[in-house]
Amino acid sequence: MTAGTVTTPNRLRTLWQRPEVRDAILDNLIWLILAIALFGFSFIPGYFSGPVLINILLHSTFLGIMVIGETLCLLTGNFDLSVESVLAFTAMFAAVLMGTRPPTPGWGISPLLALPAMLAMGALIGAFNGVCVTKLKINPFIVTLATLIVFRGLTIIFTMSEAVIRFPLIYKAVATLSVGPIPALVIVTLGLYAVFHLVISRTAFGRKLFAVGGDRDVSFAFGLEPDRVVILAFALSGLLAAVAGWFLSARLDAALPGMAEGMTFDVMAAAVIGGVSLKGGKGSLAGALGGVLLLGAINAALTVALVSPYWYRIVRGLVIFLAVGLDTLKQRLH
Amino acid sequence: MAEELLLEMKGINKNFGAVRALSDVDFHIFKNEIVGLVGDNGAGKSTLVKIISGVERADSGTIRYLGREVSIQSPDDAKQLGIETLYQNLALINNLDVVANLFLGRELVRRWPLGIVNVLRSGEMERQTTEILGRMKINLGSVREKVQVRSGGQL
Repeated sequence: MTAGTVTTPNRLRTLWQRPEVRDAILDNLIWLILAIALFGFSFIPGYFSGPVLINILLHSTFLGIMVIGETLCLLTGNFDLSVESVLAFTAMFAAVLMGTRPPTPGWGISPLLALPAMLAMGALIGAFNGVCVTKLKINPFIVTLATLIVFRGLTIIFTMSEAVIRFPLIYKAVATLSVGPIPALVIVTLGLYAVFHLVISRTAFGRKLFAVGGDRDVSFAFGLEPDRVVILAFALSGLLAAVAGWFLSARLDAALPGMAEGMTFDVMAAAVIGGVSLKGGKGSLAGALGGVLLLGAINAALTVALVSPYWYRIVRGLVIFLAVGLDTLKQRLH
Repeated sequence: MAEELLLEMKGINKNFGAVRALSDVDFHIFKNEIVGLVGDNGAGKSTLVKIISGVERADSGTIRYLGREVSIQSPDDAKQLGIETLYQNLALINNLDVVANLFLGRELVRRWPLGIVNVLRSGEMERQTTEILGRMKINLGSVREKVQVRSGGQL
């Protein structure tokens, strides 16, 4: 058979058999899914309006920031279930430090001190997770499940399950400012994505994340100090969860004992559906961002279409199922 | 032959729990010497090499490198001394490309002023990889391809 007679399906199959083409398609599957989803949602009246789109972006920020940290952990072959509790705990910690409501026992500390303190607290909890996983060699599922539960408990006990409301202006500024119609939160979040994308793809630390996630023992033999890499990834995950805690409490102008409850699973789902492998060593932040936007788009669709909130969990569960199924399927195809 | 000692190990002991892997081993390599370490399965060859390359630490004994007593605590220490190890099975990270594997643990970086962020010099590493492979007359196609798609013999 001469080249001229190769039929199109055959040529497509040849293309599919080339590993770099197949990888490129599988790694960018999220954008295809997102495009199909948005096309479907466009039939919902009122979906493609400025305010709805801005809302998708705005609600994606809190999730999105946690997904960055989760992606770092996933790349090393670990995962961090504790992010939602770290978010809530650090927000409550800052709120109590600042002490903004008279009945709340607060210390009246300036937000300029409370903010760095809450971020450091997040990083510290993350580093604790990392040390337990690497030095004590406890399974990351168990470690971060424990911190997930404990820090939720501490958040509740901090104020005896009371909300703390009304924060100083400096603390809230990030959530109240906007550039034209675009909230500052969205811009800051995209900035964080850009920065961490460069960290992952262009720095020695980023390269080590992939190496450790690909093969911890080989990484060790080559002197990459995998323990340090994993601890740093967990610390960054905690730090970013605290940033999300700051942004969400600033937006709500409140720290609530139950805030962000259940969000961990959205975080995992967004990262995995965005092509970050649960097995470690594979994925990109761009894909993870696609996953975040997909979840945001689905949530907005449910809201605009006035679907009863009772259905939300079922849809979210199905999305997680889809994400993990996709991950498994991709591993088989690779 | 120049009788200058490159590596000298004396009285090396290593136990794994109750298993005595190395007992009082003396071992030396002269400069410019090529040494084959031969022995039965379980004789302790790998353990000795792992101690030299810093993956394992000896329970007791001394190691001298160029006459100077050294303590090799990690693969990084070994690398500082100029000791490189090629593993039979522990050699490649499958999800990284050829360039990344070749420069694993000694990436070429541009240090930023604060020293926190070391930016990879990807172009330079890719150029050197192509050059090295070319010198060895190895044609791999793209050096940016992940190594898992290659067969063992190709690498």
